[in-house]
Amino acid sequence: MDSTHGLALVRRSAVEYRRLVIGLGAAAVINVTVYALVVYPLATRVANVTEREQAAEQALASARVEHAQASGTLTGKSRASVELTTFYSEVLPRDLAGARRLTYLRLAQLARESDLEYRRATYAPVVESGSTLTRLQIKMVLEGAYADMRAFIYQLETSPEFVVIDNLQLAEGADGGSLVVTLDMSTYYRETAQ
Amino acid sequence: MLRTNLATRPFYNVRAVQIVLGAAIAIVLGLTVFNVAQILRLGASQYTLGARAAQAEQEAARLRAEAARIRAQIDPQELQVVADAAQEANAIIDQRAFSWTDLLAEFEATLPPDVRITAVQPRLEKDSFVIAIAVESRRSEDLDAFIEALEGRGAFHNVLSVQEQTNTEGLIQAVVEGAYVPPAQPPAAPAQGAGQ
Repeated sequence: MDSTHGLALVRRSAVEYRRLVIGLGAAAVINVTVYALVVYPLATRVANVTEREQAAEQALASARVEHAQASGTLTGKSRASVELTTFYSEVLPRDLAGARRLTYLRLAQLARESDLEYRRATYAPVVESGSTLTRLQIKMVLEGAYADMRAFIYQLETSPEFVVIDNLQLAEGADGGSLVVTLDMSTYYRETAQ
Repeated sequence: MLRTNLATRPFYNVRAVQIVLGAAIAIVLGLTVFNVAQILRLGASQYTLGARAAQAEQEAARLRAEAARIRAQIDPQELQVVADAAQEANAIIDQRAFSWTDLLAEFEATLPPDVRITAVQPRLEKDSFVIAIAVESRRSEDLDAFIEALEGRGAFHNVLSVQEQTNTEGLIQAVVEGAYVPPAQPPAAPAQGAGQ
């Protein structure tokens, strides 16, 4: 048999380097075993932990939103309550007497200052269902020139009194030159329990 | 020349065998380094991610409990009352802020000579104003010119004559409605002698 070629040569060199070959084989087997028993299961566990961490981060983000909404509702409610109290007590008249004082004399004065003739007015408190406010409904009929009517409206809407113009009706005056203006207005107050 | 090797242990290429063995050593060493590095890296990741997940779960549970505690403080009926009151207050504030002076200025700029306004009524619909204008006109052309002029100025949109009839004097009585977006500026003081 030719010992310089093929398997015989491999066998011979393996015999000659036996220690090294055995050591290498053992090291390779150990490495594969370590990979199969330690590295691969560890990688699987890390993948699971990664998923758990992502799920936990999502749950945390959703909990933050939930917390912010709850906090926002509470602070929003508190702020709205404070602002409503300020609005009811400082902007709107406090009661019917306050609403009357705000409108009755003031509107007549404004009409006079605007050179409008005060014809008639009606005042009626109206409590609308589901409303927390009572509305003092005012219907006022004035007569005069268009420019005076416009000045009256400008004065009214730039005045500090909380009076809302709901509706405006225009008709020709009896003399044909002037204008009869019917203004539906409202102011609001909070009817407090006595 | 004799070519047969008569030696009992003939020579062979030792360098080639050493190269093969060296390569095998390098591969085994590489595998070992890979395994060690993976064990260290994955171990650290497992610890870090686990700690982070636990912390996030703990924080989420704390926030949820806190949110539940806050919600328990809120009386839903009381909240509804405040929400309704705020909505009502906002609506009347919007009405108070509505500028009739600007609206009249729009009419002054758009009203044709043969059209007369008899009533104006704004109403708040979905946070915007819809203005109903009752008008009297001699001809449909004049009424149409008024509608076109309102649309053309830009403050009115979707203007429509929603109701029309002719009275005994032959005048067209119509109710024109349109969405109105007030110009974003303080109300202008009325000009002396403006309008008709």
